[in-house]
Amino acid sequence: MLKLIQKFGAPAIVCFLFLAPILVTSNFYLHVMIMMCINVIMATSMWLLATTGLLSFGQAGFMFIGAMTSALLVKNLGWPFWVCIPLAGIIPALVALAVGRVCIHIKGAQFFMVTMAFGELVRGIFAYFRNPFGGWYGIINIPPPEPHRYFTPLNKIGFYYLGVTLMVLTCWAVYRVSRSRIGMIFWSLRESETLADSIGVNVRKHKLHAFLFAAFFAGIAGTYYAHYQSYISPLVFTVQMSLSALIFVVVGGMWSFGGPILGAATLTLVPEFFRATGVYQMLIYGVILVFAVLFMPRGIVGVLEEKVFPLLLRTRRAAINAHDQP
Amino acid sequence: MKFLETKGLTKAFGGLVAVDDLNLAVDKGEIVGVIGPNGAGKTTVFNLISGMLPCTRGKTYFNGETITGMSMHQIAERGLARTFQLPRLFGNFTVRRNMLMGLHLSAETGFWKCLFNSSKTKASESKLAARADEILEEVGLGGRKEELAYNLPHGLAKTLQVALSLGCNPALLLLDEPMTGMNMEEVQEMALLIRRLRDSRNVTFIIVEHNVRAVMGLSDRVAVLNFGKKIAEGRPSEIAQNGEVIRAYLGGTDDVA
Repeated sequence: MLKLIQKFGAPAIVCFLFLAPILVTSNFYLHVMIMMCINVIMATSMWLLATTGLLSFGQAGFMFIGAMTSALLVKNLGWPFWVCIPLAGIIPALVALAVGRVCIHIKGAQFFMVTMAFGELVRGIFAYFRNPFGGWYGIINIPPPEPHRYFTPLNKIGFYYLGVTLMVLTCWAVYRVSRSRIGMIFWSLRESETLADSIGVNVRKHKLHAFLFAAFFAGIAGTYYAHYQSYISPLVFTVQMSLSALIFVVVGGMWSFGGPILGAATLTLVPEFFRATGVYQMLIYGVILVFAVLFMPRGIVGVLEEKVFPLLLRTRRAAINAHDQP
Repeated sequence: MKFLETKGLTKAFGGLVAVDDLNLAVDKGEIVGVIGPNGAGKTTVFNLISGMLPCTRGKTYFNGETITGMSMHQIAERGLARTFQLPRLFGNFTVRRNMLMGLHLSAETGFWKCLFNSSKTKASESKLAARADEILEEVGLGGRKEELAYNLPHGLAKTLQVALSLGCNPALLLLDEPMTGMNMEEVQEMALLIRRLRDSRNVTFIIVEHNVRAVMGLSDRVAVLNFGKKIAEGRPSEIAQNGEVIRAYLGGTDDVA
């Protein structure tokens, strides 16, 4: 049974996602799914960085840079969206290279704060220059991807498929890296940096690579957001957004690849059930978070593995000890 | 120029001089023991040589190269590996995965190759898996491959550390208290392992130990440190009779109340 899930689980979910619009035609639910895709991309890329022991609190900053890159290139210079989408990943990665060179050796809580400062710095710069970054007013009327008739505010199916594709690509990339030797190196950095250093691991280089990786996918998420909502501003890419990414990873479960995905999906969908309660929605969200921190130290995946599926106990350290067998 | 040589190696933490003007020279294929009372600076010497700490003064030469100021992983690439006094392992990894990590320097780490799991990566990883099993068998951990490293008893944790350091094909191994906390049988096994590695792989050893009898029996030469200074050096038989060494360990007549 377990073998079946392991082999066909992911393809089954992907098939379901691609076929879902047959069942789900409401624009509202498509919107929720699209936001979920963005959150999953943010959460998984942040997870890969977290496996090295680095918790970045500035992912919203990279998202903003990616969003701004593609918004300006498409709106002001008229470049096609499909050319800009890889650029929207590469430019934040280059910024991450510059930032990382300086601060990748900083440890723990200080790194957390430095990245938070970076996120705010990005917001500050974009807010200060009205021209060309739009200042506090942001950038409006960002064109949707071509061909325009498939990507309209009234018919979100085009955006939905684009989002699912980006999400699947991101998850595939993160999964492959995490199961390869590079993933093993990342985990080893979290376990014991000094030991890794003493056996020949270039700690700085690998941490920097993880940081670039996370920045790249944050940029992709940012550009998708920009062309979907057609409006970006410094009021969108705040510390709150970086915090959300962090919460998805922690509540979902840091020890497993499925954790951040589950966390992002759950924490995007569950608040929707409480939307009918009106003003109490955020209150209930807060209660859920407190509950999660108190009673689910290993996140949702931890609870699944320890309480719900006892037969999965064997794979408790799955991600950290999973390695492609030759 | 000897295989490993330190000239005037000094480390001061503010006013405290942990290592004072150390001149140590080691030939290829030797087993050199470093002994001394607690706090003599022995582990600090290892930290300086392996690049974990920057030295205040002095130089270290290894295999003709100046390795002072290099980072730990650069020194490991050149064939100098070390173990730690308190066993440092990748605790949440299995023993086997620890060993696979130890073989990092022989591994394929190209980003795109790993992303697509190319045939080159597959071939490299299967070779490494075989080598990892081989090394684990050699040190005696063959039966415990799937155990999590933090569950290992102390003696086996130390053995695993030695196995890890073998992964980078070292020409020189710095062992920091490899026999601490072991019973007589385990001490014997460790001593035999060290001898075997020296004979079969031509690995040079510098061993810091408190088990004086074991290290005297194992070493070709012994250096004694006290308060950061080298107070004696020579064959084990000479050291055992050296008055200053005895005074350092047991105190002199003027220390008696």
